[in-house]
Amino acid sequence: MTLDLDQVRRDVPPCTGLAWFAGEPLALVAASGEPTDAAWPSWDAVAAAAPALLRDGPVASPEVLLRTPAALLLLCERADGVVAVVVTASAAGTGMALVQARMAVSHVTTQLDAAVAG
Amino acid sequence: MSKLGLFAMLARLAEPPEPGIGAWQIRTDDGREGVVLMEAGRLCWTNHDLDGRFSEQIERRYGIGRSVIEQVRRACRETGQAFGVALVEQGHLTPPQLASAMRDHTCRSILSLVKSGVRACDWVPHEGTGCAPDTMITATQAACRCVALVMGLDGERFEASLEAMLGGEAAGLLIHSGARLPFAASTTAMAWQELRGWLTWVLRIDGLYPLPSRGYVAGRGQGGGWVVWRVEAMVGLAVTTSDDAQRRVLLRVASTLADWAVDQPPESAVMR
Repeated sequence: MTLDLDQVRRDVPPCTGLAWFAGEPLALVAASGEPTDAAWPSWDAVAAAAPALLRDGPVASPEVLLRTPAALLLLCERADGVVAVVVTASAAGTGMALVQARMAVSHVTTQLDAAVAG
Repeated sequence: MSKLGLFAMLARLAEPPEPGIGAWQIRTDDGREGVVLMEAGRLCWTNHDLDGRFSEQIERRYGIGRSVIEQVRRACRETGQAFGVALVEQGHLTPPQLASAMRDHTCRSILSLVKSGVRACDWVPHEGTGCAPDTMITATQAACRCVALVMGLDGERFEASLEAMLGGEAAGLLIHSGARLPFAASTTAMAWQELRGWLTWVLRIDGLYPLPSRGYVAGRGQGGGWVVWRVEAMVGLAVTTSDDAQRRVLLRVASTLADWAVDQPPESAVMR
């Protein structure tokens, strides 16, 4: 499976980090950029926390939004893994940052679907 | 029956037989007795003969003179009127002061019972109702208030901070990440098992990734979701059961977290 996550980052400029995780336990498959703007030490740390956030909370949540004063991290669960996107907090606020993060997830999902179909 | 600790006793109290109206009769190691009155699954009143009298507490908290208290008490004996109601009607206490004092008395009595060693806890159903709603607390609220009381902290202030975020439309907790204990529970009821499960989960994700102060994380699922936020050592949790409530709570957290006020207890209080 070939993913061009660098291209997604170019398409969605506020996006400073992107990653695709899969497997059990969840592990990093591909990444572009770093999650550090969202105060995460590494993508591996994101992989370690993602299952607890997505699956084990009071309500199982296929989409988890993490907001720090500097950045927004969006985790989205797919049937075959998890997409993580870091977007720098903008003057436009959380709503716009969330839209941009969802756009980036959509681009990654399109690539993943194409890879599966191909 | 082995001796019950605070959380074990409250776990028992939290699940009275349906419809949850009656009293728990409690016997302690020292042969004394206590009673916990319940209505609709909430605690109305707890008493223990070792604990200070309610009248002493109002004297201490609100400065009402002993002679006034005795005068009201005598009148109540003659008329059959409830002591608290008479204090309010005669202007010695406001309704919120009375409710606060009653809730505080309930928690102090529970702590007193636990300290004496709870050996037996038996349910006696009855049909009488009539507790004022604002004087009742859930078992989870009582647990959190008892934790705060033991630490010498003001549980009501933590509850007020939590409710400022929940707005009455979510269940939730306010947890001290250092002490790993809940200091406040929502007015919206939660099951005892939820308290335990949610507390464990929040502490687990806090261990995996401690949120930065004034940061939050939110998950949205089918018919509701959750929000966890943090200010210094205090971590809040809201759990909603509808999409609309989830949207409103998330918006409230996002828009007010920068200015949200919550007590930060000194380390000496929470680590003892």
